[in-house]
Amino acid sequence: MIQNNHTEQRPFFALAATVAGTLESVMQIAREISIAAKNAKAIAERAGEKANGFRPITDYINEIGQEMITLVKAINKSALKVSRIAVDELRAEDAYQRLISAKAYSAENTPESIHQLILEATEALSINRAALENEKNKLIELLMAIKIQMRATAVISTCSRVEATRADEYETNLEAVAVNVEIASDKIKHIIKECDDLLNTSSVSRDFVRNFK
Amino acid sequence: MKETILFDQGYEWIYFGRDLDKPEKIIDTNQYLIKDGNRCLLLDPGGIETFSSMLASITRHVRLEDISDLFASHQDPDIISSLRLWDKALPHTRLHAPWLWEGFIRHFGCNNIEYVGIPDDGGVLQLNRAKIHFIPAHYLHSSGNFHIYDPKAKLLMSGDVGAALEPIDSGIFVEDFSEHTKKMTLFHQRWMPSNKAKNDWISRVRELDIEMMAPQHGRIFKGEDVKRFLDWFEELDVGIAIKPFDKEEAA
Repeated sequence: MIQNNHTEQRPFFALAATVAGTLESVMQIAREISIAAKNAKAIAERAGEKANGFRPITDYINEIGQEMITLVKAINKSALKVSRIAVDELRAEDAYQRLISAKAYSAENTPESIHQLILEATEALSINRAALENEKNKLIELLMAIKIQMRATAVISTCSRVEATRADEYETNLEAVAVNVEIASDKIKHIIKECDDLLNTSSVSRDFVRNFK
Repeated sequence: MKETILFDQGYEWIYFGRDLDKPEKIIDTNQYLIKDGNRCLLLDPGGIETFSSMLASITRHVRLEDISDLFASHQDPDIISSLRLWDKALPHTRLHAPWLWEGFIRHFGCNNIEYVGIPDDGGVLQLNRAKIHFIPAHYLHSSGNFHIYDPKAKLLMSGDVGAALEPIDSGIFVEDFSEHTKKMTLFHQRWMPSNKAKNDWISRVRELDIEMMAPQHGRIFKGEDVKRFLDWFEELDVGIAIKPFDKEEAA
């Protein structure tokens, strides 16, 4: 569920988890697209030769619905992973800060063991940040892929409308299929846009979103 | 994470659990959300390791700013060790938890969230439409412990009472009660320390009109299984780690 302007103060790990939760609703819409494709196929079968141009499009719509389900699953998984790594980063940062405090307490008599722990904590933090960057990049690619699919869906929807006009008495039914696909596609675009906005509110993710755009 | 709506009449009770992504050695936990407009209550939010999937799951149902209240039945890490993360994600919320544990729970990190200590005798929390009762359950198993009862939903969130240790892919509801007791026996005998506390709780809970009893681990009890559970629990001897004192051995 989309959040409001309170998100501005929200930490990155919370925003990433919110993106995962928000995208879950795309899954349902993708399933609706698949159902629309099945309906279209049944209508095209009934229409026979009159829907010759429309029939191959139904396979395409179905394919897009299926691919979208796969993509959304991958995006959810990735966003959740980003959130988990961001939580780990917070914990690693905590550990680092506390070790620095411990060093301050011991002033110039800081034992070697604390220096060693600080070194290890610094390394852990750096590994964690690299992992976060890596997973963010994967998320960027996946979000990009779904945007490309949305463009393909728009083309298919237009083709469907054109082909529907050639199907005589089946025109209204096939036109309705095209409209359903278009509506589903608009809903998905809207959700993706909101996810963009969510990520854009986090200062940590600014570069991430800039790259994406 | 699996989720199921348990009650939906003006407001909702939603179950979350069976997190397949959790690290293997961590005990599975059940979380519950009372979704009531802009006054939503999250019950026993869970540990650090399950935080991200829990947060992602609840955002499918509510806006984060509508989570106004958190509840921790007691101080255990699987209940509330995620507090520091919630404290950052939901700084505007209140945490209702036993007064006894305030100084301890704050060790998890609580700089923004307001800690509202629940007095020993319990109390009432009015959300929008939902009015929930904090039911004392001290020594079951923690020395300061509460359950939540919703008279409209007829739902008792019973913390560790009724818990069972089961594989991650188990069902959500109890299907065969006598079979299920095998998964509960040791848990209750070992984790619950006091027969006196147990019987006191049973006598008070018998007075409540309950259609569902929802523990923090294992499966949810429905209908007649609630009464079956109370009868079974009454018969069970708990606190078994204390061996009878052997004077000869001590000498």
